[in-house]
Amino acid sequence: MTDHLMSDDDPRLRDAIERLPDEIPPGRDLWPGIRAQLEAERVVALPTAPTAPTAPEAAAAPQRGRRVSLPVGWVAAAAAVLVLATATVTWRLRDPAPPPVAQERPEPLSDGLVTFASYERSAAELTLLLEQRAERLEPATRAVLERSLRTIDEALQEARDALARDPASPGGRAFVEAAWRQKIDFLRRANAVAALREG
Amino acid sequence: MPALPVPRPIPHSPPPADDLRAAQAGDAEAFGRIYRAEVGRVHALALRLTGDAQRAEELVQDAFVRAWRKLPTFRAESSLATWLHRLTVNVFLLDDRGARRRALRELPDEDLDVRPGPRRSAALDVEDQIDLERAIARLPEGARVAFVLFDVYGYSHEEIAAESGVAKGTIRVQLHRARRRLREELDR
Repeated sequence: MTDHLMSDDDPRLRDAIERLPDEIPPGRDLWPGIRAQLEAERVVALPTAPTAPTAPEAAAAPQRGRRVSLPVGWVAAAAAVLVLATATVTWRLRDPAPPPVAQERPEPLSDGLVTFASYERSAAELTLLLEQRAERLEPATRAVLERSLRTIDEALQEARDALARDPASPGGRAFVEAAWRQKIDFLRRANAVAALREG
Repeated sequence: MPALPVPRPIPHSPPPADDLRAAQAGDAEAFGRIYRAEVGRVHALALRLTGDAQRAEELVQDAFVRAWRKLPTFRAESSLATWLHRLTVNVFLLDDRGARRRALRELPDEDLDVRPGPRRSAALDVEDQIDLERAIARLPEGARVAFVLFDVYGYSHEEIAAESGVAKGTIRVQLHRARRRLREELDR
């Protein structure tokens, strides 16, 4: 007699268990909340080129990727930046219009690598604009923005250093692009906040 | 020594292999399609383990976020549904493991059988005819976890003990109490 056929096993109970549904959908869509958490994790974990699988793994998961993680300190700082930016904008803005900037994209070079020149141009324009507007911000707000930008810049530099060590890495490229996008997104939000003070 | 019981098979239509590979490579949209395919089973498990709609939703969210992190390590040695099931149980048991262990160890007096029922889950309110689901939700937590894992999903005492850190004998007692309580519910 197995454990599953103990003396207190009841046929009626067993029958009721067998009739339990395999699926019960949740009362609301949980995906948006899950998706938001996944997006937050993208900041610190990006797909990289698949590594050469070992023999037993090759058949089971031929296209599996791996993830690159950042130091815990940066993770916390990056999360803080995202929270700060979102909270600040939510608090301050109703319908801000981000300043017009060029569409950024990695530009291919003749040797198959890419340049992020358009990101650099956009970031430079937005930084200049923010510097002009920052004078109207409260000192405490300005200090927070500057601190957050330093954190983003450190992450960007780390990504660029990693790409410089392995220029052909698609994962490293994606990592740098994500860092640039975060910087530009933050600058746009910060500019939108500062623009409110202009009116 | 009897063979360990085989966990209850989880019938399902697996998500397309392309979606699985894409999600493993970091495609959140593909993972969203996997979520849509699997959430009903994961939520049913979460609802039975927690006995509470809100806690079940939190568990489902935690489980899928954990799955996203661990998906690159999924080797397809089991079905994705089984892998998600195990992962959800692990998340549940590891979440405040001390409290969970205390609940499993807690052997309530017979008087506790008349404790007031907890708030019902939304899903159970909708499907009011599912008496057993409601009765499971009313069980004390330790008895509920032991019953759900052992009787509903086919875990062995050894597996529950290993994952929860609670002695097998205690789990047997919890299971016995859960069955007796549920039989009483079915007799009403």
